[in-house]
Amino acid sequence: MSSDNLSVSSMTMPITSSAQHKSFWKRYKINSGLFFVLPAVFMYLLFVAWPIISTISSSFFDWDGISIEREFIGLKNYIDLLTRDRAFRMSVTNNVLWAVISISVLTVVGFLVAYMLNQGLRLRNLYRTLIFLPTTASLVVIGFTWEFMYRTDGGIVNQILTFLGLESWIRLWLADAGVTIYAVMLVGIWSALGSWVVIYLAALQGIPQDLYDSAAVDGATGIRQMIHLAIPLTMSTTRALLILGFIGAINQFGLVYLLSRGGPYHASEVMAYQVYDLAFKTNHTGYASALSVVLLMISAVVTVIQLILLRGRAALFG
Amino acid sequence: MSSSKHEKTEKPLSRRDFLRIAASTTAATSIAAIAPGMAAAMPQAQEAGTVSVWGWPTQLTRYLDESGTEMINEKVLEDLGLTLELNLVDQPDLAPKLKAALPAGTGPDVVTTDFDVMGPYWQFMTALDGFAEVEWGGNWRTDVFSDTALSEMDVVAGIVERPGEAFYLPGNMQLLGWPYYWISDFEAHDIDVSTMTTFDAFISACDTLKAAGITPIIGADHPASLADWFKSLVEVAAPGKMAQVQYGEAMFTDTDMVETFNLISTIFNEYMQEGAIATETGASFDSFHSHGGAMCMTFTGTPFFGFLNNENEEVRNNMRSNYGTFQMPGAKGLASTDAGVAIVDASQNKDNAWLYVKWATTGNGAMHAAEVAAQPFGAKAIQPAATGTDFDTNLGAPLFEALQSGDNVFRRILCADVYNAITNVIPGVVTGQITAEIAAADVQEAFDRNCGQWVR
Repeated sequence: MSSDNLSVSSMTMPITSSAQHKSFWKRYKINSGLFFVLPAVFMYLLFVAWPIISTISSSFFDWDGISIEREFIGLKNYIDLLTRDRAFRMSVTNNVLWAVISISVLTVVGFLVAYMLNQGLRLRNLYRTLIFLPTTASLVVIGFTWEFMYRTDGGIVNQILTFLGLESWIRLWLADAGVTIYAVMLVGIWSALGSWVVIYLAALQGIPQDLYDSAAVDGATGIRQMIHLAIPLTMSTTRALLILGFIGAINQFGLVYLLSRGGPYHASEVMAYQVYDLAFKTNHTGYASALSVVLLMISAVVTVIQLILLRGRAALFG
Repeated sequence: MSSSKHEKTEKPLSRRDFLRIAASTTAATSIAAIAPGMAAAMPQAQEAGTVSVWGWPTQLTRYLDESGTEMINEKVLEDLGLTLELNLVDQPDLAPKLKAALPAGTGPDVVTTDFDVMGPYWQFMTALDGFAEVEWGGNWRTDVFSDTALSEMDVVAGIVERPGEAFYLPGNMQLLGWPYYWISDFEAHDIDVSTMTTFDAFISACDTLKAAGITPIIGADHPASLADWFKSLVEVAAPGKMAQVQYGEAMFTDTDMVETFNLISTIFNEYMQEGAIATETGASFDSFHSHGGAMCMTFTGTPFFGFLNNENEEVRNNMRSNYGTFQMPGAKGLASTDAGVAIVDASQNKDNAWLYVKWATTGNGAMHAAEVAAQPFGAKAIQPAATGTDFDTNLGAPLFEALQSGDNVFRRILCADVYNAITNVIPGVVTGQITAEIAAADVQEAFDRNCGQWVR
């Protein structure tokens, strides 16, 4: 047996010299390390790969997800989705809005808040706790609470606006087609901000104090330290957050379900909610599968583009 | 490892041990993954004396006494000797719940059905004819149930494509197309429901209330409520056409049918509270009970006749002395099954399930709902008690008669896709995102695409 054929585990025990005593895996040159990953591979195939393959397959059928019979219709689901579906266009628009606005706000505000909390503020631990608190709450609790707060009859949001003399800002937060998606998005940003701040804070605390001191010696203080030191040195964190934030935005479901159920009409609908609505409430499983595939492709393509672009930025800063 | 001592004393993992562990892990994982399926496939040894029921909150899944105390578990145990495992979800969540369970061969013994969401799930219910014949004899249908109730059982048999079989027993029946109102508001503004015989008169009453600074109607966004409004206002804009469009004899895009969407939009935007189209059902009732508006037509059927034995004493009192009811002018009232009770075909506990079905639809459970909550039932022998309110005179007499005789124009939304399309597009019209014409076209498209079985 050549050394090339030695597995990791075989190095822990003497190798039998006798060829006739070679065991099954030795004879067939099977790397026994494969057995280590077999459970994980099995789970992956069962719960990730198979559903994806099954979804892609279903997308070519007219199927209610229940009946045994299903009719093969080729690309019709995709054609209808991309050319005729008003709700799909609205949900894509809402997903794009969600991604652009929430990621922008979370990146800028999250970084700034973290930067402030990284300074020698009094009571900074209290501030950190307060900002992180919403992240610890259950999404369902957040949804029900904000729905109550947004109510037109006695909801606290409109009451506060009235108290502040901002009656002109009062809206039917979950009933006005032009406002609802932003109202839901605001809750999403509020609940996610704590996580972004904590992650940025960890990144900022990883920057050695020496660098700040050197910068100060060179005349860079205050905001210039932030721009020329803190931002570039947390760029890898920003890159990870942007990708995670985008994936989160494109798969947004919970808050839409809890607060507005995509309504009124499809004004606050996002793609993941549309998939749920089509697959589970109206039983258009084949069509919902096509939408899921499109959702998967959009996620994959945009993530790759993000990676390419941000890798360029990182190289620039590096 | 840096310590040579450790190198000497630590026993290395042998290849045999390693493979043994890997194989065991893989086998255990595989078994864990398929175990639920194996369990589902094996005959279920149901615990004797138990029946599991899924459904949605309706009078059929309650057993409230006159003070609004829930007693269904105690009563099922007392009457049937069965432990009831009742699992309720809101009506819009019933379909997803059934979809997750029934095709996999799992789920409860009994489902309290809702016609609007049951469409594809009827096929998972068992035919009850065998049980019923043993219980009531060969003529059980006409002996036990009213013609109106039977006509809907036939529709369901048509959906399953097994004509002549009964896939549920009808429970309580509902009468659509009527609002509650605060008597004090109507009296204060000289609105007399006995003379309100046209839709214009109804709108005129709404205008009077609105001019007086009162919100005329409290509404909500519940799909069933939107469907009820549509069915009621079709009788104003296109009388009798609901059945025709569903049998392919007319179109949803016909001008008079399109007008129905405009009427709904007018009602929601002109006469309901702000944001009604996104108001949760419970909030709308709270608003009505606290006198936030003069009328409430969130649900027009009987489920909320539960006001008679509501948990809240003030609501109970209001129902008996402060609320009135009247039939929507133009709307003839739709008599239909509010909830039927069905046995899941995969249940291994069908005998207990049948005991419960019988109790809920023709037995003590049904009688209690009729007596305490004034629920009309599909079973002929069960007569609702007089409510002691103006419901008895304004609505009850003619509509109960229609329920029993079957003399009732059939306007049920037959196809689940049409139901979904109607309840989907109404908020679009109300909020101005789409026109009534586009809404009607969407509904017609849903009908053309998926409801061919109903075309005559």
